Amino acid sequence: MIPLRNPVAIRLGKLAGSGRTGMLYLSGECGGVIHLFEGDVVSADSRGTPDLAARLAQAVVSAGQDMVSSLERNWLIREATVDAALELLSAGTRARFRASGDEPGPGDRDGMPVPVLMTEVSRRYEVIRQMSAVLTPDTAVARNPGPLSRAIHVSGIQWAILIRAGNPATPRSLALELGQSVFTTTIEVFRMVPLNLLSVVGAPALPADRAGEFNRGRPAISFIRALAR
Amino acid sequence: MSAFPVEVMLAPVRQIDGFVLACLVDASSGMILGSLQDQDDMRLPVAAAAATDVVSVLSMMTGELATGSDVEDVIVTLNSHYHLIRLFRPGPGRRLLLLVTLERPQANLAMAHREIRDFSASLCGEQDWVA
Repeated sequence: MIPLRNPVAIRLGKLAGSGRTGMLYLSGECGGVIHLFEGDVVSADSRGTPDLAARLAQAVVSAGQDMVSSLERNWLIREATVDAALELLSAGTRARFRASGDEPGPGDRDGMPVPVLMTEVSRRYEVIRQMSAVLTPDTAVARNPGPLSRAIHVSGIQWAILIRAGNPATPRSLALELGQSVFTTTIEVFRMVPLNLLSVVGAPALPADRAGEFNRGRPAISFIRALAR
Repeated sequence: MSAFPVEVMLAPVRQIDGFVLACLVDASSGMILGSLQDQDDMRLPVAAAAATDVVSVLSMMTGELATGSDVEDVIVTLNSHYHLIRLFRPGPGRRLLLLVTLERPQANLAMAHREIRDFSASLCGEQDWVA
């Protein structure tokens, strides 16, 4: 769980409780802003995650046309907000609120209640904790140079990560380059390590015939275990 | 947080015989995008998380088998319920899963499977496009 005494979480809760409209600015290396409208979170941006414009641009490029479906746009807005909020709330940096009378942020959409946002952010925080024994969004990884001992079918996002991980990269740098969520990119990178496709820089890559040893004693990601009890 | 609420999109699923709950989940992150639920005694977040874990494991299986196939749907049969999980792609690189839970005594599994398949196809093909 995100610590309840996290100052940003406390401040956000108070702003939500009083139905405030405005922008909560957060300082720090991965600082940013959370946009509120009548106590609900409309959007969030962080220097450590791709912004909505970058994600929309990537989606349009991937789709090969100049528009995206409303379902996908809904998903992109929500993912960008939660991805940024996880960074901002995890850092627990100083916050400054600026009230406004107008709805902040682009577009005309409903906000996300703060308790719903906090539940999702806490869930992701627990998933990150599950992975933290191996890597975090800021762990350097590199593509394994050796051949695989067997054929593997990789997904489109895994392929995109592979071709960009030639020089040491981090899940965060890969996400920013791809215009994808830092959270889901970190998950994909985590899953690619035991497949012997990527290695954590500084940790020795296992020979292809010993790749299965990686998982001994190391749990896989479980979304059920990430739920708050 | 949407101009086209996901709950409105899911409304047709409620007509399936034996309907208990439905949710749309991002298969990559496990985030619930929207949900409908007729009975509060089933914990929807648990069902959604479990469905995401199931799909994740099966995707690992198909990756390792390297046959070029991908998961289309999963049916889990319990004493009292069916859980139907349908994967679909609203856009390149996006994978969503639709979880529908049905009361087993009231449900017709074959019909429900077909209705969910057709519904997920409609989500990909017939939507309001926005620039």
